[in-house]
Amino acid sequence: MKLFTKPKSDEDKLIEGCIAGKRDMQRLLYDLYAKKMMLVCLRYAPTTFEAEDMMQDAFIKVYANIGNFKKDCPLEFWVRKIVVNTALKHLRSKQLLTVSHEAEEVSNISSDNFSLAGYSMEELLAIIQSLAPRYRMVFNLYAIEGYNHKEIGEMLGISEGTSKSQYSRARAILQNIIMRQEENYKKHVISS
Amino acid sequence: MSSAANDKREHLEEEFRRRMHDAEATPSADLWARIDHDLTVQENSMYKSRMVLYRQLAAACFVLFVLAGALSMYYFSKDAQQQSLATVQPEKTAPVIAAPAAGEISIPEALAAAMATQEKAAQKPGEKASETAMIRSSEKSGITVPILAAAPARTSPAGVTAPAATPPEAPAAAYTYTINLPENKTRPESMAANSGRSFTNNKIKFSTESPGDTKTAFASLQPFYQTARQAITAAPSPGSSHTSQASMAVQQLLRNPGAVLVASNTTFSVNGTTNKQQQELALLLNGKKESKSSSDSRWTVGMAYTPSYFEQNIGMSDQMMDAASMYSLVSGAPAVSSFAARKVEDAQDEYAENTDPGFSFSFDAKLGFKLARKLRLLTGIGYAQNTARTKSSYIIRQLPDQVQNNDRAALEPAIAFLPAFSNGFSPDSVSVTRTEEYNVQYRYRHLTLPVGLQYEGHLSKDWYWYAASGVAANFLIQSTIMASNDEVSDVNFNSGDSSPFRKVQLSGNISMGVGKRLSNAVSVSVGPEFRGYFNTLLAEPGNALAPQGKPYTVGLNMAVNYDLGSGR
Repeated sequence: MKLFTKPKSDEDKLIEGCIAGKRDMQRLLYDLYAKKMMLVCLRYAPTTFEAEDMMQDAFIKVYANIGNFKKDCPLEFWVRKIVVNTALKHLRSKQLLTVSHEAEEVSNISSDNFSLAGYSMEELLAIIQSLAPRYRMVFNLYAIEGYNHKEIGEMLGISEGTSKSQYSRARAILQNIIMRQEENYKKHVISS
Repeated sequence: MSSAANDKREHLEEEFRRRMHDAEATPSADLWARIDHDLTVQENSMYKSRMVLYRQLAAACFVLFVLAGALSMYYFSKDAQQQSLATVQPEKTAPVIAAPAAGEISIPEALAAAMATQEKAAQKPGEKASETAMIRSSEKSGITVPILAAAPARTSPAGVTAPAATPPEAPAAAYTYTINLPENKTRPESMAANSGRSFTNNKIKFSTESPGDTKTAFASLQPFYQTARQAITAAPSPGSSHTSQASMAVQQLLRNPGAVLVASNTTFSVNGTTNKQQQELALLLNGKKESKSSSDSRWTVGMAYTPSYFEQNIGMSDQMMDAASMYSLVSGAPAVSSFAARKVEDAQDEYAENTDPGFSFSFDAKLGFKLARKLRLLTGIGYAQNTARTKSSYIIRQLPDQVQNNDRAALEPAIAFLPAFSNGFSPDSVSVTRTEEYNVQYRYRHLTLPVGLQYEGHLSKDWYWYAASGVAANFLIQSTIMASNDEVSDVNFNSGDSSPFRKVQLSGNISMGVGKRLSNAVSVSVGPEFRGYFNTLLAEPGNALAPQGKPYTVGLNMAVNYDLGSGR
């Protein structure tokens, strides 16, 4: 008699299987989120090799802690949070978060007419990966993950103001990189 | 001011988010194989640690089982030995009794003879069985009194010859002596029924009969004469004029239990023995057995509840800060590290000032075995939950070094307590945030296997005092650090987890107090208890910067005990 019990969703079955340590369910969870999470790792890691290391650690943590998942958010969001935290820890462990002041001065440019339509995913990744680790992290957390600066400050152990200033600098660097590339592209097209 | 500074997203942020947030990239094909391998290794290590715990538990249970078994065997074998000594086995006795002169004997003499032979039998348990004599009244009166002893081969002066001792393989023989009671035609089925009845002037004639004449009367009366004490205590109540004669006969019997009793024509009443004399005699004859039967059982079961305060004895040290500062200089980032260092210092000061013992408790189910009259061995199983608490206003994020791979593993946001576990600090490894004051609770749950001794002393009829001491193996089943701040992650280590806490701790306890016997079987006791752990809470205190002391609890032990088998 299951009149009064809510039927289990596929996600519930998947979670229960992972809690029970069933390897087929763990594989299913991996297959479900591996591609998205790989790109998350690639955004944070300087190389593909390190991104895979992050992925590996992150999924081990997911399986170890899935019993604590309270279902108060989508499973993908929870997995992504773990992946992001793992990525941050990896970068910390590699001591890549030391801020190195860029030699060149960068200026903030208005992004009203900004468009990434002409860039492939690989090109965008390359642009993000060209940032210094601390800037890359703050940029990813703020611009793509959607955290605010207070949250970022707590996550990285820095003040909110530091987060804002670092993001501002990261943003300016990115804009300059993109502007330079666009100028180079225009020059190349005009000259050709 | 840029949009980032105002926390306001602009076109660039939205464009990147739109393109990147849900984008996908295919990981390499062997990534799952690596994860699978890691999972397998992890499962194996968990299995191993669980197996270690189960083995330890099994070993502890086995030791307890062997201990309990050995004590049981000791107790029951001793009990059986005492029982065999105290109980007369008619078939195995070969006492000597003289037949009465002229074939006549009074009932008290018969009783005395019975006691004498029984005493002798008790002194010579190894001797072979002989016959059982039975005194029977004349067929007219129907009195039949069994005597549980007779001579193996005897000839009375009057020529009444009792048969020789029956060989073991021969059928049990019960030779019957007939007692003629011409004036008193009552038919006492048992001696107890004769209590208060005078046998004055009743002559009892002995006659021998063949074994085949022994009837079921013997069987019906046998319990009455199983012990000499029973025979004496069942004697009639006082009031007779022949007290002194009875006493003399009894005293003579006591002086020389194996003596040959010669029957005389003197008749007297068995009523003559006073109650006091009966009791004294009973004590003399079976004093040992009497004292045993009135004593309590050796085994007790009990439950104890001990609310207590727990001092975990984990301090904070300046070394922790020194280490952080030193690494900061090396790192080349002094500004950040010194700032963090000051805050960590504040946090640890706060920890040291605000950490208090918390309410803790333990619950024990104990089995007691009385080693001596006042000394009891106690063992059992218990559950203890020890708690300490503190208030904090800081959140610390720390990345302790991992020596084995020169790597650092980040811990979740935590309180100042957690960095004390490790000496691995690095320049940007400590981040301190001040926040509103919040509560932190440290909770350690143990499964305990205690063993100890308890000495009890008499205070009054119902009251007693006790002093107890013992040791216990404490198996950590869970350790939790809980913070009331949402930003601070709770830390929880189960028995199978890899944790900085010691898995098995030995402790010693001492307590004393008073108890009250509510009934023969039930007693309650209460008294203070001190329990000190022999080890630190952390498994590797040498690797921690904070000074590590040995934890202890101070509490009030409240117990209920039940004596098994009391009143038997």
